[in-house]
Amino acid sequence: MSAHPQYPAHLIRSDAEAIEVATRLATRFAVEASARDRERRLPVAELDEFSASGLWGITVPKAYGGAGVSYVTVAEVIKLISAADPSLGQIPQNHLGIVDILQQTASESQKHHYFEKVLAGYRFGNAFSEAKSRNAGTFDTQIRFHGDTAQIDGEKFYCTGALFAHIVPTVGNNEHGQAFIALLERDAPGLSVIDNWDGFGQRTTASGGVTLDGVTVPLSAVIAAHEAFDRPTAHGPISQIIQAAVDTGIAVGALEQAKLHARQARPWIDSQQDHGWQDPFTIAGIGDLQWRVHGTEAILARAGRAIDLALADPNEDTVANASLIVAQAKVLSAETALLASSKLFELAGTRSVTGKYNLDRFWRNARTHTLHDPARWKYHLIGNYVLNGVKPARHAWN
Amino acid sequence: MTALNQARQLLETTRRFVAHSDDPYVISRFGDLQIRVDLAAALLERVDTHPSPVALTEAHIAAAEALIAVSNAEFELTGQRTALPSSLDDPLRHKYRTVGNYHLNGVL
Repeated sequence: MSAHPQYPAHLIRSDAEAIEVATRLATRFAVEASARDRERRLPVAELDEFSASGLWGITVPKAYGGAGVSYVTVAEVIKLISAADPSLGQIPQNHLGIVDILQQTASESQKHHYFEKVLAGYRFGNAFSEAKSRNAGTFDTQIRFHGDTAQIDGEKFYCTGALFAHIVPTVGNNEHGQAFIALLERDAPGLSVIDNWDGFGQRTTASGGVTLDGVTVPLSAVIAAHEAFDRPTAHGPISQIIQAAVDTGIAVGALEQAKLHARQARPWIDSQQDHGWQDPFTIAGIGDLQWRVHGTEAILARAGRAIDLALADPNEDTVANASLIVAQAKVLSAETALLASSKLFELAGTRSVTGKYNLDRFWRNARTHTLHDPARWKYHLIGNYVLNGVKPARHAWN
Repeated sequence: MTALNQARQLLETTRRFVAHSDDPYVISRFGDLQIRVDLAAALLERVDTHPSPVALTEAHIAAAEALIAVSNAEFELTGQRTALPSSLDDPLRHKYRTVGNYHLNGVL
């Protein structure tokens, strides 16, 4: 993968155009999604098409030439793509996060430089998480500043998108434990991306490792990422809504398959019906999944509106509110994706487990992706506000 | 009173009774209940923008489930049980069928 995009990107100008482009792409991506999963065939050509469509630039603010779309639209776009192929839906997750963190913390000249690249079709990956640090919020990777350069050394994992990126934003701590992001060129000396993701779900995200061995960058390629959490910003909710949108997409995709295959199921002997779709329990089972999926979509849209408000007027209250509603979307999307991808088989019957349909990919993807951060702490986050009036902690997972 | 309003009110009286807690299980219980109530409210809002003939039925299911969840939590956390309105004339179990028959079979 080179440090420059192969194709120039189309410029999307409105929310409506973003939805239209995503709908069209999703239809195309759905065709070989099962084959890509089965063969773990990395979606290199699909990603080129995806970023060249302009969808990776829709959050660039209007002042910098982008469409600055609503986060209701961002969530809808990721949901639509994820319903077709949630690996493709997940890959831009950190790219979109970086666009926001640039907006929150970068200098004017950095914003102009990087937003222009995003609109030209450059893709950001990520080298944030570490598998060996004490917890998800701690980093052993070090950034050291020497005059007008910085050097970064460490070992990363869960680096979704890095393999396919032109620029790899990498988190390192300075000597005071403050987090900085260095925007490294994909072909920077000392940066190695390792294709060692072998998860049973989200198989084609290439969420493997990155090693950093004395990688040197100019200060113009470094941003003080910790500032996005030192003061109230929508950055945490923005990271989270994309997670929830991926899982909502998985739920939507699984329910579509449940309906398709339930229509073809044989009637059960005791139902005294001619067709499986006449089975009163199947009908009620689909009804139960359907209202849950619609409800999850409605909460996801609410979360997008809350983020828009927090971006327009960032303060303790608007950011806390966005965190709280995004947490609801996270809980419901995880719950609904897991339920729909499991009930799918119950409603469609034994023939739906045949290997040729590869329908288990919905559950494998749901189970894998919903582990990103534990939903159990989102109930706690919401309850702690409702009961005790405690606002959510500000970090990349809230 | 609608099921959604009653769920909201019961959640509020339960919250006032408990007032404060450091127990992570009690705290997360309130998180879950708030989600169920807001989910029903979001589906009710959705009725205006999604002209599906069963959108209101979906909102009714969500509200009925939220009310049952809050009512159970009221008993668990306060030791009291507020009587719920009868739904014998409009049974919840048939609403799943209405929604499913429309979305699976296109039948109203």
